Amino acid sequence: MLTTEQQDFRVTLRRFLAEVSPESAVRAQMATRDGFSPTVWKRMATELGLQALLVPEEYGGLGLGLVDLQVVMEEMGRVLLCAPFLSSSVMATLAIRECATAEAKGRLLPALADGELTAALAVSERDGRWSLDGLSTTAEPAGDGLYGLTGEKWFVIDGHTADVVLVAARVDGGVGLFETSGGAEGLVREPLTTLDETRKLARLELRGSPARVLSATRDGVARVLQLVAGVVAAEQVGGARRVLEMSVEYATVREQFGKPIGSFQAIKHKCADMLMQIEAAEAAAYAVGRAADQGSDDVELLASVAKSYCSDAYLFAAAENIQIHGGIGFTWEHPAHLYYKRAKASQLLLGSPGEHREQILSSLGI
Amino acid sequence: MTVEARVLAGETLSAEEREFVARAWEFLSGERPLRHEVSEQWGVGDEDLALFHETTDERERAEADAALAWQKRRWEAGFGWINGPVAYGGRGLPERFDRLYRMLEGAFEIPDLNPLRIGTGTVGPALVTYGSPEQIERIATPLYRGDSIACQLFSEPAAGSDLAGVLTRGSRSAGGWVLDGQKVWTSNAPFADWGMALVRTDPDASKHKGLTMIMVPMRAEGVEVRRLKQLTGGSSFAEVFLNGVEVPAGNVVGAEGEGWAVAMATLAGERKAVGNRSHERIERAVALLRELAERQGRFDDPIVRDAWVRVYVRMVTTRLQQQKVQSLPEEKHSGAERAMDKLFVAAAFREIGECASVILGPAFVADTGDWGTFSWSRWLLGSLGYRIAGGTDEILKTMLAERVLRLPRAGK
Repeated sequence: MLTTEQQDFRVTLRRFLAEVSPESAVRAQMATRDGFSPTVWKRMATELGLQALLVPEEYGGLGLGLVDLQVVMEEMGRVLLCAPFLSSSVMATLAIRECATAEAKGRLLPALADGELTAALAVSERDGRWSLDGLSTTAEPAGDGLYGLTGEKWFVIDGHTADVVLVAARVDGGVGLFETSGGAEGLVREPLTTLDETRKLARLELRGSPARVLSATRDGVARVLQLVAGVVAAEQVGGARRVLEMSVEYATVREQFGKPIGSFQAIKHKCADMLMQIEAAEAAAYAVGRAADQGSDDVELLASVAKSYCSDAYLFAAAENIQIHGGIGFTWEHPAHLYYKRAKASQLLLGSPGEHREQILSSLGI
Repeated sequence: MTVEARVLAGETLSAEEREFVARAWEFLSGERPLRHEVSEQWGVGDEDLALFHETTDERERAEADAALAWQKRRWEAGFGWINGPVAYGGRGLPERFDRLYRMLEGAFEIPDLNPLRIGTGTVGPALVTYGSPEQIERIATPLYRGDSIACQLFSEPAAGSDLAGVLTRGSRSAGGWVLDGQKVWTSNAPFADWGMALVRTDPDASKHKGLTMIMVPMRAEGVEVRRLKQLTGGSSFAEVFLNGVEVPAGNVVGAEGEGWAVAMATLAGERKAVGNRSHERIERAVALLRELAERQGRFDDPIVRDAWVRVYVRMVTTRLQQQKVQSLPEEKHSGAERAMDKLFVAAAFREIGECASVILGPAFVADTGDWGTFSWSRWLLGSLGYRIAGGTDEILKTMLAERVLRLPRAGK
């Protein structure tokens, strides 16, 4: 399915991530407020150009496709890399690439590609929905082509550390996307206590913060959210594969009743169930990337299929992994809980499986 | 998009494959009409919701004859044995061509080839691998030429998942072998010409070593076929009693005592072939259920919406997984591909049956006479058997755990 280049890239990436993001590094970053290491972030940019992946070549990026990005996200998901990659290099970069004016692209994309600048995408509010309907944050014209943003944004990934925040807000009876600085006047940012400590979320309060308009229509933003859901699906596949490996490794060495527990059918069948769901999840996730790269018109439908399926598959695998590990799996020291928490948090990110299933129905006209 | 393009969406074809596809499409279009859409077929004919084809004595001979006649046409046009050896009348093309042909054929209204499938899909390939040139010519080629039908005589009342436990005895006689015993869950037995039988020829050898594979002429003296009535009320399988059946020595496939290896190769061939047929059934069923829920105005109910969209997601993911496996080169296969596919299909079948009951409510359990309603109960009942037939869910999951994940075998 993947090209030789993609497979080689995966190998390089896996080696790099093993070095920069061992479990000890994940645990160290989890405990910090910012949640990532600027040194590693810089190395990601200079050694592999990861942040430049989605940025078109004319803006100093690599101009690669969604499948390439999915390979990267799958690998990052395997190791629970703590970095603003999803928020900045995927969500914000895609939003700018797909929706913004040429001026904004020229101003923001090169710095995002270098990793010099980070950006976050603020959509959901207190009700936690990833929908552009019913937003209460507003953008009011403030002269000189600028706007003032007022409202609250919740559950913003890396919202408290991003240099630039892209805010979805109501404007003129519609919805648009606005750009404000992380240090803007009237912007109060506060990290939230999160279930998944490997990915930081923040609450933003906007009190007339000055902003520029990136896009005055909502369609592009809605499409970007769907593409990102398809990319997160690949990250979920990576995490799910890793927990299955952990389960198989443990079941092979852990002995009870004088035998490896992996020789018992109860354990085998759990592992087989995990394997099956992961294989189908992988097929579903990469179908989104391929559809996007080929410009196929069912990409948004496939994204909802993938996000709903992969979310449930990852959560299932992460829970079974804890069960297969038994007592040790319930300890803080064992990494199994880190994956379970990522699985649960990412299941609800960008729309729950149930919301995506509703989305599928409406795409089909039901 | 043309029908042809839609059927082959996502396939990358070489020049040779494109040429093959063009010829096959030309042949099929000249012979048969294209298949209808579900919405066009609503209310017309048989609902066709029994997962195991159920038939009666009167109907089945006609069905078998229709299948043989179509197989004959295929053979004459050069599509009867696409991946078979040229020396025995095959086209000698790689497996992939056979799959492409089947994909194309799926778009047309053709007779149900189920009566032939064991012969052409399992028995034939096993004969090519293990049989003598004389056996291939005498027994395998006619299966593809549309001249004869084969069945598989493997399972027994006491040998289900533990197939190597077969008790049917093969004893030496002057001209070959005499068979005594009982086989069960045999498809196609009432009209088959050949039965590929796994029998115990050496009761003193260890369990797996005392077995031999023998081709039994189904019309021989002492072969008795009895229909088995399954819980659906219909009949898809038979019991086959072998009472002193005389079989010539030349019908032994492979060497005496090599039966287990032949059986495993036969089943492996079956496991390798991840087909489209079950996926097409799933797609038809999901489309029918949508039509049903829409016609009955049931999509206002959030429970119905959720039940249907879940089977939709299962359909898409199962199909994408199947396509992923089909696109992998064979050297990357683990040999457990079909096992996984079958598990997915079995789960989808069951969920579809449950979804139908959610949409229909009481009309699922009592016949109101409306087309496409009560007959869904047959689907759900059939799905119970699908988890057992051809490897139970449990046996297949154990296989995945051991072959793909390399978990230790029991007792080690």
